[in-house]
Amino acid sequence: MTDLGDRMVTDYLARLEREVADLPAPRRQELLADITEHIRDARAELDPETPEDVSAILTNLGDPAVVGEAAGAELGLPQSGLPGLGLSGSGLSGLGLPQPGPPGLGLPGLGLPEAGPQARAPEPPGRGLWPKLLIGAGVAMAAFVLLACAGAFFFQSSSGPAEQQMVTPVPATTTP
Amino acid sequence: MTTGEATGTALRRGTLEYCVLALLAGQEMYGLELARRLTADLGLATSEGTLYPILSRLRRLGRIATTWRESPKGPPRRYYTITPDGTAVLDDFRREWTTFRDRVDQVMGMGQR
Repeated sequence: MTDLGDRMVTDYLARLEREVADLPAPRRQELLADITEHIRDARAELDPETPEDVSAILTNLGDPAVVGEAAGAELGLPQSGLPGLGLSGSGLSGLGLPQPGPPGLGLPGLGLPEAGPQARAPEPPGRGLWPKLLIGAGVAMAAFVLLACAGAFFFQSSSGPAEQQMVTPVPATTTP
Repeated sequence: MTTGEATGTALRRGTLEYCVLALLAGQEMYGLELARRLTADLGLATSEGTLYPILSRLRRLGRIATTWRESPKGPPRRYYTITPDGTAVLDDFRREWTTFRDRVDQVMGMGQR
């Protein structure tokens, strides 16, 4: 084994580890162990080993991004690559950059205003309160008027006969 | 990726794990050996590394098992073998595949009518 070959392998595994950072830990560790074992077995067949041989082993394994994507697909994870940039979702999260959100939810990571059907400007405080207060006051006023009318009617109807009885002239009775 | 490559990728995605089982039904193999057989020899996988997530899933499902064996050259190797459950799954696939292939061949005008 050569020092250069060791460095190439270390770099490859480090890249692969970044690519699979979003996988569950057991799956990530298992994949890294399998790939490490594959490289070790392939290098063991080389006698003597050259950097070109190691490079061929890594090339045949495939780009770490491709291997990481295959691992994510096996687990049913969403493949959220960014077309044109060649960056995968896991690569972005590994760098701590904001993740692109779903359509219609804006770009919170960039601090841009949200656009889409769900986006709306926040209402100023108390703006929606006045119509409710006016409606409530109207209802209260109507109830008060109704109660007043009902009370007046009740008072009039209950006191009417007594007054009538009081004013009804009683025929005078005279005794002969 | 060309249309032909995309078609090949889609077809391999659905069948590669059964090809793994079929190869292991013939003989036990270690990872490097299996990967080379599927890529360089058969052209059923584009890169050797993409095979390992499939092996991982087959292992978790109990369709393949692994045993460590001494290597004539280098450190011990982990050999993959097919389990009875894997053999049953492979038998089911063979039946389904034969029917499916015949129907596709018929539609494509490539089979005997």
